Amino acid sequence: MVGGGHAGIEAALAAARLGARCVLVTHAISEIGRMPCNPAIGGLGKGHLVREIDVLGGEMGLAIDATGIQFRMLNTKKGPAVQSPRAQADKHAYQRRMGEVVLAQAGLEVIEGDVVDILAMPMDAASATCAGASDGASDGALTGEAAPRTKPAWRVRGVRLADGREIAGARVILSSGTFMRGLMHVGARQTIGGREGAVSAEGLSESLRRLGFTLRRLKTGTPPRLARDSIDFTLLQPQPGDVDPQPFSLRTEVFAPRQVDCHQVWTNATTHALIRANLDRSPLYGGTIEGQGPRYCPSIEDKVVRFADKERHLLFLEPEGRDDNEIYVNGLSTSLPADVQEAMVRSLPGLEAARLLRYGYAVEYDSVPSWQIHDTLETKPVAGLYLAGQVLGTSGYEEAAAQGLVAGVNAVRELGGHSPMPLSRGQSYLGVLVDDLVTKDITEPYRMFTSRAEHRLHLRCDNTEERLGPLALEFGLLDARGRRVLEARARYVDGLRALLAGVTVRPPGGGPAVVAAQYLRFPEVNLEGALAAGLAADPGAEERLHALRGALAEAAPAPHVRAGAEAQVENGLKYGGYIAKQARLLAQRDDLDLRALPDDLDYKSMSALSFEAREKLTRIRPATLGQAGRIDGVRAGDLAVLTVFLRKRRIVRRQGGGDGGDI
Amino acid sequence: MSDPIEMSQDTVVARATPEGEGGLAVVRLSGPEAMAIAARVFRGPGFGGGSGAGPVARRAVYGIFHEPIDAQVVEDGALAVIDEILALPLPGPHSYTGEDTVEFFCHGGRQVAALVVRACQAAGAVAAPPGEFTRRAFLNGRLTLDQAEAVADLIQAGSEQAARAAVAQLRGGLDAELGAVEWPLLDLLVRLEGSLEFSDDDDTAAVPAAEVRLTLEEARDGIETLLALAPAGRLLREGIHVVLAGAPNAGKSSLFNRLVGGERALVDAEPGTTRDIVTAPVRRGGRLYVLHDTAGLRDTSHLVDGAGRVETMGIARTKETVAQADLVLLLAEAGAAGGQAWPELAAGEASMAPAATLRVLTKMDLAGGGRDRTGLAPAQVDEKAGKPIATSSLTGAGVDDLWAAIERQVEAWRLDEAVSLGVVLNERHRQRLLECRDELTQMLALYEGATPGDEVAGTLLASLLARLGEISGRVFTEQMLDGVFRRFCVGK
Repeated sequence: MVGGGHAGIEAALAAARLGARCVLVTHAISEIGRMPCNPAIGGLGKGHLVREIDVLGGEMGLAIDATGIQFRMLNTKKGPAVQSPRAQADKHAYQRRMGEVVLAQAGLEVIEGDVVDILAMPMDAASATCAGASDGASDGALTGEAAPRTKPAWRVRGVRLADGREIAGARVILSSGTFMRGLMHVGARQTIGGREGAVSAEGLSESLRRLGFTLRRLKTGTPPRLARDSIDFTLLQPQPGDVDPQPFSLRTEVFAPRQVDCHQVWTNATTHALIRANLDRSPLYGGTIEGQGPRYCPSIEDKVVRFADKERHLLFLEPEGRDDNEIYVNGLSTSLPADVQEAMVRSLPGLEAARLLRYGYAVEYDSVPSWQIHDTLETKPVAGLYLAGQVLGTSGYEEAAAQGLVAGVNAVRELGGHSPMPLSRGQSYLGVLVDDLVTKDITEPYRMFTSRAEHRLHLRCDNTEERLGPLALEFGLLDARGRRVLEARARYVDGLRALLAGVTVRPPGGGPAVVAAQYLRFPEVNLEGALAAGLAADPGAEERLHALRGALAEAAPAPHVRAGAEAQVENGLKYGGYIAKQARLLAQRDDLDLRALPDDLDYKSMSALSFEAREKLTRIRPATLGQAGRIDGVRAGDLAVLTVFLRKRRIVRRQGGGDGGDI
Repeated sequence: MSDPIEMSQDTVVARATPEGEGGLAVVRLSGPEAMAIAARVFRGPGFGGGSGAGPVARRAVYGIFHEPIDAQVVEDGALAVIDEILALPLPGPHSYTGEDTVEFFCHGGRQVAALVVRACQAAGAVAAPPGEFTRRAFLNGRLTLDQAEAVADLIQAGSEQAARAAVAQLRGGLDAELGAVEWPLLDLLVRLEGSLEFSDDDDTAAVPAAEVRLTLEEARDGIETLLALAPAGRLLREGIHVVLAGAPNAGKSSLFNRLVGGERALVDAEPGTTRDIVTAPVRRGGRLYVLHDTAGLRDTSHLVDGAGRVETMGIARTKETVAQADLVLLLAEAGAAGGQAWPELAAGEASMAPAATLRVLTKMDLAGGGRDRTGLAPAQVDEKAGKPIATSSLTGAGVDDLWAAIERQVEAWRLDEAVSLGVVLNERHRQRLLECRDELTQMLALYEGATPGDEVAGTLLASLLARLGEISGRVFTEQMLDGVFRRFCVGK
């Protein structure tokens, strides 16, 4: 594992827990699990990912539950499918805890060092002698720039560090974040480095290029940090955490966070005038930055320019720790020069005397466009090399951690000759994430949104255990305690459903008698009401419910387990009709996902495909017809052409003719 | 064997340019043996007994086209010359069909072209059925499905209008019309999702249910409008089926002959002469009509066995034909003794177009004194149906009026609109649009009850757009997010 960020941590822990012997190489052990940007975990869509990581045995949920200082459920005014948890972290505590977990993990060795080279041998040599020792990657004889390869040209064999040490590895997972050729901008000042106070990984980009990868420049940014003791909070609107905070992890047993407030502050005309007057000093507008930044996380310069008619923008002041003096100014991402940042901050009410502890900056870095990976996250050009996280063009700790987990599990499965994780768009946000990565042409840092999931009503936080629990059990991703809680929860859900389906209630408003499960689907009825009606109608039901709850409490005493299970039953029934309808509609398209497209199709020569389809299919090389159909620019007519081609090819093969590949 | 995708290994030959007199005709020879067959019927640089180097790809050469060498008696090396023509060798895959192809350019129209085709057949090629070149081109990946469909329509196009529509379709008329339905829905989705994904931002207000309903209703109307053009697509492709029906001896065949402009149908004063359906195409005003003359409708139970059975079968076929008609001409003899009543017909159920009927009085030349000036006997007056068109097949009177009435009727089917929009829906498009319309209707029904949550509406809307996208090829997720970011100042 290369990199000790959120992707590297989950990859290393998952692989080690599955019994592989792992080495995690990081440039500084003390930096493992650092939050270089927003001191928070979760958010819309992202919270869903954390829940999924958790059910699959990952560490992120446990860590934030233990170190969070404010917990909120977002979107509570909207339907349950689009509600998602978010928590402010004490980032030092989070980082400390992650470091401890990683260092304590059996089978996982941590080495400090800078990886500068991916070692690989040509595939021919690899198949001839598996122990091939020729110094493949760095012998300079490689020229193979990039006709899209259908078979990997290389097999990975390890990494080389800056000090010359080589670490052998049958599988390598690269999650180097923003470090590849990282370049930070504060005004006109440029610093080489992946983030503040850290060096950049200079050699890696060149190493990947030599192996045939195409790289792309991306950009992201971060706001300034203020000294808490220099802010007058009495002038600001506090934003407290939830009164009844809920943890992320199924496995969290004790949860009683001491919560702290965040604060809101609005920008004003003075702030905007300052920004406009200094736009020419922003590298974003001076043309210095070439990388593409995320639209959903615009810099304050962007907001002021693009939404010129808005008189004010909302900012959040978020503490970076319970006792930390550092305050993160959410919404004020900028790369303006230091003096402008100071003036900007001091134009805000309550912040007139604020001290800047660190300046905001933009960072540009190299990423590997994700059409170069399979849906296992193994790369196409280099067998045995996996990528995860920001290096693949995503953004966010949660997206990174999710990929790390997938890469870690798949690398070990593949090593043992087992099938990879079956992830689908219909079953998980992980599936949506991975499918989007291999299907879309991602030109800005990718972030999860619930609207990316066509099965959104089914992919809820409350039923994560049901969706992914069986996979976690089958693959052995949970420890004994996790398994016990998961199984107890599943039994409770089944019992509750049976109970609701087994009693008949008479709606108080009149109308015919219905089973309680049906009654619960009335808009004005909730689970509590349906259960109460059920218990009133059937004297035996109370005892059954009591027994169910007793059994659950014994195996999983934490109250949030029961609350989650009950939310799952209620929301599943409320959305039931829609989910079934969506499933029917989408099943027709899912059939196409079962129809594989051979690796060796030469789309370029299929002039029947539209020009755009040819170009995109050649680059993305979808694994199935279904995936091909999800590519923007590939039309139903193009799919028909592919279908005809595949049939024709089968017929020609059956007749013993040529390969039919002459389209 | 009958698998349409099964590739034939034959080398085929046919005229590749439309039938017609004069000008240039192109004969196309396509298939694995194309070069070899050409060498046996054509002598020129690279072909036949000339240089051994073989033809230069994609370079037209002038030479002598002759009867196949092995099919003629060679006397002193003389060849049975057909004509001097140009030959263009196109080795696969860089040809229309994707196969090895030779195209012969013949002057002098159909005569020479026919001889060239026959000589190629004598040399081993098989006559290509209509559409075969296009079929091979599609199977070899030289044409997109949409193009192949449009070309197929062009080949079958019986009228200029159909050809124009096929060309417009190739240029993407349907795409633009679908876009007009898709974009407002996408805009709505942007607003719904904006309020879901960024509810913490101050910017994204919830979308009022009334606005959602309005947008959905407009989209449904838009799809209805497209669906209303679906019959036009078929009428353009297949022609407009006009069926003449009426009592025996009502003058159907005479009028049919007048309309067709020839002596196609057998006419006799004896009732029941036409026992089978007689069909003839008529091109008029840029449109293709297919006229059907039918057996007269009458009670046949009084007839003696043999003749009666034949006529009964004829009447059954008449009813079948009427059921498939786009337009039925109901004929009755003007003021016949006691007045011939208008026949009763159950028309048009199997047809995609709502079948229309026009009532036509025949034999106005016989309608002499003592009768109403309109030629109507009392039994023929029907206030609701209005005035019938009076015709005489003998004098030709009223035939132009009848054509004008037919054309007025056809205009109501919006063929011109379909042509100018370039919207020629095929069955595949029509099915998708029907599904989307039903989907919209169901969504609107949701809003009749308790308003569904935005997350439900957004999910259903996204899936609807995905279905429309199956026709247009557009994938909306990124466009939707793009819209959210452009519209709202969101994100931190």
